[in-house]
Amino acid sequence: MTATPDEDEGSPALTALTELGRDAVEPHTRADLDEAYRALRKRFVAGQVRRRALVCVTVLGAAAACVALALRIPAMRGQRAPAPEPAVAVARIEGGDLLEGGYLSQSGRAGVTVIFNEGSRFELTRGTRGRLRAVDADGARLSIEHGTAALRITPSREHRWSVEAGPFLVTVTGTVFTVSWDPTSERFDLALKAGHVVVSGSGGAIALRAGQHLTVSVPTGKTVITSDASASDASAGLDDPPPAVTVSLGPPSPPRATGARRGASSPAGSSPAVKSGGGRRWAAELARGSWDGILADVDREGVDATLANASSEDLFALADAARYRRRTDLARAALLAQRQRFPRDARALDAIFLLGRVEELRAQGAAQAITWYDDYLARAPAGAYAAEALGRKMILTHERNGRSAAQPIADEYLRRFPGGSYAGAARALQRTP
Amino acid sequence: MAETWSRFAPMVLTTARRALGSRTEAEDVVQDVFIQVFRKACTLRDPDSLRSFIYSFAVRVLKAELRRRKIRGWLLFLPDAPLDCGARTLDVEARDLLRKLYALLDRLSPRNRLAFVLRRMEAMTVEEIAATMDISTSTAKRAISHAVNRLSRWVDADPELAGLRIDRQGEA
Repeated sequence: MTATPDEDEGSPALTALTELGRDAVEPHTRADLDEAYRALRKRFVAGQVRRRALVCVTVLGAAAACVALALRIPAMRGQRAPAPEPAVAVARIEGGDLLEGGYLSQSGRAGVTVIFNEGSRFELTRGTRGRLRAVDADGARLSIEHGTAALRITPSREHRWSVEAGPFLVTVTGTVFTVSWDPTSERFDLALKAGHVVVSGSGGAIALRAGQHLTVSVPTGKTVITSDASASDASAGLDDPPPAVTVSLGPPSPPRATGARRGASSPAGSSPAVKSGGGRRWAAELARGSWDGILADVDREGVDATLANASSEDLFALADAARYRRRTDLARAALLAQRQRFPRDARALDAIFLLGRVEELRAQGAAQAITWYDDYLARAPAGAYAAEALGRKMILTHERNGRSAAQPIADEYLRRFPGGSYAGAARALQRTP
Repeated sequence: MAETWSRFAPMVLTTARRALGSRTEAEDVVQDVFIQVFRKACTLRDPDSLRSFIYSFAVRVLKAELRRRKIRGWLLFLPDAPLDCGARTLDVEARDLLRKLYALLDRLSPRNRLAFVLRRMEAMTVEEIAATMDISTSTAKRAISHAVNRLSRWVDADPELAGLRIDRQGEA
């Protein structure tokens, strides 16, 4: 902390949060800086040339724009607005089944393939653990916890597809590629078979063409692109213009925020009720911080009626709002209702973890919280909240049963999540005899 | 050019990442800063003041970027800029906290936000901040104080964030 005596230091929570923001920035590698410098030099030289050519380009550009406009107007007159595309849905699953939380189980040796109604395919190779996080009118959100998946996404104007693979988020509008993630070595691979893509992340933007292969090693920060001469743009037979894929080195956006734009999102195969009752838009209100507004809506409508009628997404938003306002009974009721009414929704799994958080808010809730965390870890050992669930379990066990009981959990935490936010606490537990 | 870059680029990059919360955006900002620095290098009279010369460009570019981001948000209803702080913050809880921090910083004016970041994350003195941002010392103090008060209020009103110190004490 750097506040001087005459300066208001602010709340301790702000201090902690600021320290987190300060420490989150990692040092930059020599390679990163060298690459950035090369780009800078190129830009600087190009800028000098560009300034000289600016006048010519402006004149030529204006002329070209006039010609393009003249050609475009007649075409636009004869053009009708495109018909809306149908919502994405799962048409069938080959070689496996859909389980609770959207996980895909494999029944045969050939892996499992999900075929969507508009022609897109999501193929998990044998042994790959993958999940349909949400499938709705906007598209689909898929995830690979470990292993390799091949995707063929039908190009679309309206649908957005995304694939989470470890810390990477691949956003797709239409292309053919395979993607894999190995959580042990923290290695990410993307092999592009058709189309042209731009990959952007912490190393800057990279343009990839068909046949190129991107490999990123998270621990070393090494990014490698290799080319496969045998592949070509035509190999996959996509007819549409070059699609775009963006790989973000940042963390995937939270699953709960995904469906906020257009009603409730649900995993394939969830009950039709998932799509009803999505009119409240509480997720949007939650994002704006309007927790009291959500709770006022519930008080008006009645708790029982809300729990019986609200969509999966709204129940989740309600649980968050109630949790933030310390209305633990309401938060717990919303999460339990979510699990009971939408057992196949991907959020049902997240609800187990959040039930643990809710129990922690109660004075005597630690034991029950540990039970929920154990349940979550058993069902989703590599789930989005696994690190947090194990960390909270470690802290609560330490508080309830002492250091010796918590040390084995600390060992497990450090083995599985050495860079996690509870690693400091785990090391402290290990150090003390 | 190369020497100036290798001496000062890491410093500007770190500040930009802390101010913006996005590694990708920070890298773009650094490129813009050094393009301007190299173009205007001939106007630098005192070579000893190179650091503050570069920092003043950095603050200007960061301010412009934050203003652009605000305008984009208002006009296009775009979601918050992606937070890609780096691989060490992959834990869900830490990511959520960082997102919340930057969502709160987004509510501050660009000037107050930068003053806060330079003071609390970059550990600059008020006088350094005033010189870098080209404002008076009292204005810099007011900007920091305003930012701290507002952020503290918002953080304490959020039960998830208000509980942060408990967690961190538990870790310590």
